[in-house]
Amino acid sequence: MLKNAKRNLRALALAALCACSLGLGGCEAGLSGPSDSPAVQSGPDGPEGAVRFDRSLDGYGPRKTEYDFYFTYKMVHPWWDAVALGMEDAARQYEEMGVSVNYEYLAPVSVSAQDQLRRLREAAGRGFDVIGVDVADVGTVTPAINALLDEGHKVMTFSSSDSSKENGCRRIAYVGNTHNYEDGADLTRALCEKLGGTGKVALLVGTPGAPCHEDRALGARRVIGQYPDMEIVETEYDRDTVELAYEYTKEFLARHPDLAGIICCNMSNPVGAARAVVEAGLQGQVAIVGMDHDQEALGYLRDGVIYALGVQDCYSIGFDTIQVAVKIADGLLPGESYPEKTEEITTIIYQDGAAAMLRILYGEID
Amino acid sequence: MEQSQQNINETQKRQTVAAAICGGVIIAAILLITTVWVSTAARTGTSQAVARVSEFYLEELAGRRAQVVSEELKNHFTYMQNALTLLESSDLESQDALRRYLGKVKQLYGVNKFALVDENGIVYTQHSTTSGLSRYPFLAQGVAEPVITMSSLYGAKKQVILAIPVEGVSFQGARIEVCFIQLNISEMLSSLTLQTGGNETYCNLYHRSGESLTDNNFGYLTSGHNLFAALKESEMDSGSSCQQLEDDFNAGRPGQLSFQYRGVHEDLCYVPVEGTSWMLTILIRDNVINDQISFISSGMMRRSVIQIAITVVAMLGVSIALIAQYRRNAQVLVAREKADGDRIRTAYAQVERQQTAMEMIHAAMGSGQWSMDFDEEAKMVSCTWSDVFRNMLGYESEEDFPNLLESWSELLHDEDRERVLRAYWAAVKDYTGGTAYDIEYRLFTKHAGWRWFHSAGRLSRREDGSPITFVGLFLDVDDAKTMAIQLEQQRLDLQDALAAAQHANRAKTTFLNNMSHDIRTPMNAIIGFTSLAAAHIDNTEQVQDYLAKITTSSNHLLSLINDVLDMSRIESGKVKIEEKETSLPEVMHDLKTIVQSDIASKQLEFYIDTADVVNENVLCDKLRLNQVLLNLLSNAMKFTMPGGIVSVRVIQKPGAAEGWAAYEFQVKDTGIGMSPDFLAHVFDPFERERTSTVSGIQGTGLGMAITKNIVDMMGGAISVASEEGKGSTFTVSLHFQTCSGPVRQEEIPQLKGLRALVADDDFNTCSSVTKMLSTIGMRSDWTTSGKEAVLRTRLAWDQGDEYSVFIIDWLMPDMNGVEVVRRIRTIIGEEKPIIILTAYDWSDIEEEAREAGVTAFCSKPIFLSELRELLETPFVPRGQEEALPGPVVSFQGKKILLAEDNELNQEIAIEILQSSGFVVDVVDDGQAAVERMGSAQPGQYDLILMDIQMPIMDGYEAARRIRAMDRPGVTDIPIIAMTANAFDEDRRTALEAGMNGHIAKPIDVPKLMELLQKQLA
Repeated sequence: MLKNAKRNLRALALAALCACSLGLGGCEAGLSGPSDSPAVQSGPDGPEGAVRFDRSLDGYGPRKTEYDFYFTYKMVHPWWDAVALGMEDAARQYEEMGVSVNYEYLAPVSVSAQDQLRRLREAAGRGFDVIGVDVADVGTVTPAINALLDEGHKVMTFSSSDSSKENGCRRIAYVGNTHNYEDGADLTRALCEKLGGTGKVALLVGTPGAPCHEDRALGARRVIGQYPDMEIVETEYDRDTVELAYEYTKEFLARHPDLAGIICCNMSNPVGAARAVVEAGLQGQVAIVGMDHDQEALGYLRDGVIYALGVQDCYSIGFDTIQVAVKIADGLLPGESYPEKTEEITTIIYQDGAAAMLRILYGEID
Repeated sequence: MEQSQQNINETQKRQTVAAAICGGVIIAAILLITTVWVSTAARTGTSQAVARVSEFYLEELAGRRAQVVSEELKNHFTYMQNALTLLESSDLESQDALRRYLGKVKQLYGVNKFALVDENGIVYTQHSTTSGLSRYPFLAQGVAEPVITMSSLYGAKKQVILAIPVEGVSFQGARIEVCFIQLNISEMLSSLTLQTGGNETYCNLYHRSGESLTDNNFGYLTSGHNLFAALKESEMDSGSSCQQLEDDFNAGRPGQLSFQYRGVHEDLCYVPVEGTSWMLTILIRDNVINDQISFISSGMMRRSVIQIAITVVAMLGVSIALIAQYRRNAQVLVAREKADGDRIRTAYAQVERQQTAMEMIHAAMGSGQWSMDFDEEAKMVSCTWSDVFRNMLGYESEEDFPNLLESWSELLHDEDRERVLRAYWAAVKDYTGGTAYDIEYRLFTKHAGWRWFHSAGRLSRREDGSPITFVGLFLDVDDAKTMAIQLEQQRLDLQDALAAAQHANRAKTTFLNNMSHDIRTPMNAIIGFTSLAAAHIDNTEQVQDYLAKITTSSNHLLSLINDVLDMSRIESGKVKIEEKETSLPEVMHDLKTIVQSDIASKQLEFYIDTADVVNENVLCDKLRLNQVLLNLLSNAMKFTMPGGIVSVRVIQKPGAAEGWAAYEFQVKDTGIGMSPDFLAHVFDPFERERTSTVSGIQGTGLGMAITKNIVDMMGGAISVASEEGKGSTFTVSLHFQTCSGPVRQEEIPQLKGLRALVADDDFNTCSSVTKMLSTIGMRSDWTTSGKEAVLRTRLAWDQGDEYSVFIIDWLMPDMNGVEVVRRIRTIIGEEKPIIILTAYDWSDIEEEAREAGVTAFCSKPIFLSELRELLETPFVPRGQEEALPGPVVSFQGKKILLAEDNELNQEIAIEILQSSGFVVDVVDDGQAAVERMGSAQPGQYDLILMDIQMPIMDGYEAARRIRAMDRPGVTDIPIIAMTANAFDEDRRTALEAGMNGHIAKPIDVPKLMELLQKQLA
């Protein structure tokens, strides 16, 4: 987290500096065209440090030779496929040590807290060493987590959404993004600086009740509140789907011809928003900030349609989830061997880092 | 003479030496001359050879490597097919078993990932079970034939995926549809690339779009660059062009190009890889060949001259030394040959003696020797079975029993074969020598059938551990082994019999104690409340309260008696399975109707659905099937607290024989569950988890035993999984003969291609209904959220691809179905049909729902035939299609003859009948009834209620005689048996005796009235 915070601070400081210098240079409200040089540069560690594919196990010696885990997450979506790769590599490294890590990693095709409850109930009856859940809805799922703990199950949260003590949840540990609020705030601040602190913006949140989406939206609202000449004129929940984000953006653009920016809080909505903006021929006039590493979104970033993306280290989330689950299964509580919250980094990437990010994540050069 | 001979020899030797020296000089001269000539010719031909060698070299390299890649892919497809043939039903029994199989196959074929995918897109691998729909896009398109595709993973690690369709395999209720493996193509290619220095020859694979299939650099071309784009930056030689490359790639044609790229002249050769859309490319740099050949040519000349000079000198020296040494060696060899001959003869004699002794020992011991020899790669090169061993198996000669491993392995018992061969190869392939081969197994002997043998062997090994010879012995241990098995079996049988007897004894004692308690409890209530009623006879309200309690206790007592009798009849073999054509939808709907009120009163959540049911009409005993499901469901409701979940699911399983269908009925609850100890005896008679005095839940402990017995009689199986405090799942598997073939699977032309939306918070229902809609040709979407259903409707409407049919659950957590319908109607208007699907009674909300825009209601579980009917026919409001009830017959003044010997029963019957308006005459036995009807006027009586067990003449005989009378208007009077003989066979006997109906005692008044109404209508 510290690393992330520093990285974001440095990126934002640089962003603010560049934005200020542009402002001093007489930049008018509105965005520069896609062919212009980027206003802000990607963080100092740059795309190369955004996702750490070179992870190794931390040297902890498991007490058993076989583990069975159950993980359920919000929905079938490429973001969680990236998490799955980290899990796979961690399990493979354990296998090389002679330790078998078996796991189920399943989700519904669309977000449903009720479906998540059903999966948790079923998993509870099957004797897993640890049950991991990416909380679909804090209010609905927290009582179920506590009930599982009362029955003697070991439950952790992971990947995108936590339910913590503040929510009355007694889960053992969390691995994933712990700074969704800050991510939303950082991206929004970058957008505000880009827009010179003025203009109308729209907010695409994601799934109602999903902590990560709601926290990012909250961070965005707070930052916009600090700019008296800025206003959130539209807020919609796109349920983490490209199609709905696209539809909502078309409606925003129709209702607000002077819309200056769009803040996107999940992996799908920057893609939907960018498609609608390009379709309307408004690239360069409507700035978009959003989350994650979708290949199409990174293409839009490279082409200047999207202004900034917060790329999370999904690989490490998956890798660390398996490491922490093994320790929980061994009966270790958070402390020296692992923290209660294993924090993974988010790196803000601008146009200058987009090509490198595409090469690192997808091998794409041309 | 000897001196003369010696002189001749010396002369010959001198001549030989001289000839050798001359020959050496001549050969050296020839070598020198030809070398100079060849080198000169080579130098002049180098420039032409460079071009030709490049072409041949590239063509040869590319062709062979493409063939290798193609063969590798074919091999992997073969591996997958082979792996699937190894898949056994035992591998599909559990997640652990499947994982063991996947791990075994992955190890066997050395692939990065070996996976099976089920119909829901769930991917099973050795260590994981994951959702694969977004990660593997090729799954979304379906896999109908072998597929080769790329997976560009997050992290830019390119992988090749080979997938094949799978048929006839199911795991945990879902069909396995695809098998795939994941290969790292870079690793495959690494063995094909010839890079020894900084820059020589490069090999890579490209898609026909120019996209690289590997993460490797290709010459100066960085991984990830498109080949077409890169070569546009190069300078093409005359006769080569980028367009040629693109055209050849598009057409899958081989070809060659020459160009300058980054200042280096290079040749590129490409050939298509058979069976794929890939092109294999080889890149070689000209300067490498030119430099090498130039260097080699000049060096070759110098070295050849020096080499020949040295060779000539060396040859002369060596020849002289050899001649001298030859003389000395000849003498030594003669002496050594003599000594060796003596030693070998002695050794042979020793070996023969030992061999004879060993054969005698084997013959005496009844043991047979065998031996096998292996090469350096642990492949068997020879195998020898001794004659003693052959004789032990009943074979006489090598012709009958050849010296092959298969001669022996084919005689192994099926149950032993895998174990024995595994042990055999484990011993051979354990290069540490730590694995012993010592095993017992059965072999099929020619004259004595299966016999047990004990075999043990030891291996001699090379320095690297590879086996040389494997020698061992067989011993016939059949007698001892058979005896040991029999003794063990007897011991186990005795142990089981003792345990069963003790358990049965304990269970019956417990049962008697429970029965004593359970019968006394309602009896106490009946007697006690009867006394209280008598004491407060003037207080009508209090008496009614007492009577209600007496009725409840009586009903409970009756159900206890029914269970005990049912069990007794099952055990005595009196219950028969009567198979008739039965509609499964009818069974499931009846079941739901029966339990609906209890579900509501216990405030339980109830789910009922189907999966893959294509045969809806079957031959089965509907009554008994109903009894089984009702017993399970009653138990589930009884042991689930308010707010809990009870669900029923019927699944048609694949793999049934022609004309048959296999079903699985699952009844699941989230109730109190069962302890593992009790679980082992749940189907034993007289077993209860806790006594009713402790649990407060009453029962005979016979319900599950009855259910199990009925399922057994139906040729099925029942199993249960349960955990205390979590709930239980009972699974009944039954095979039925099908009646009318599968439900029509063809598409409905009017609906083909139209969109449908299913909204239900139960995923199983969404999945099942979506499949059915696909079957009839519709494109269906589903969601578990009511709000999302509204959102999707709006989206579809805006996109101009609106839904034509909506199937909405009534009770969804985020928005109830009626509200969902109301909102959808505001978007789509009134035209499109919206169907409410529910497991609950909808009569209370029907009016509100129709006002909101609901077109029709449909009861869960929905079957394909019902969905077809619903969508094929115009919708009509519920109620209009229901048949009107028949006219109600008044009983006032109707005359009944009651034949009953028991005075109390007479009194009860008279009271019931008179209070309904009947006029009743009573006779005390069958004879009296026959006489009364013999003298009665036609129309004097409207109906006879006939007891069965009566003195003088029983009811059956009385009925037969009345029917035999020749008295029109009398002999055809309706006769109803009213009797305590309450079993099915009693009912049948009554009908066979000519009676019109049967009602059991104690009298259920509403049932009696219904029967009388029917007979008198």
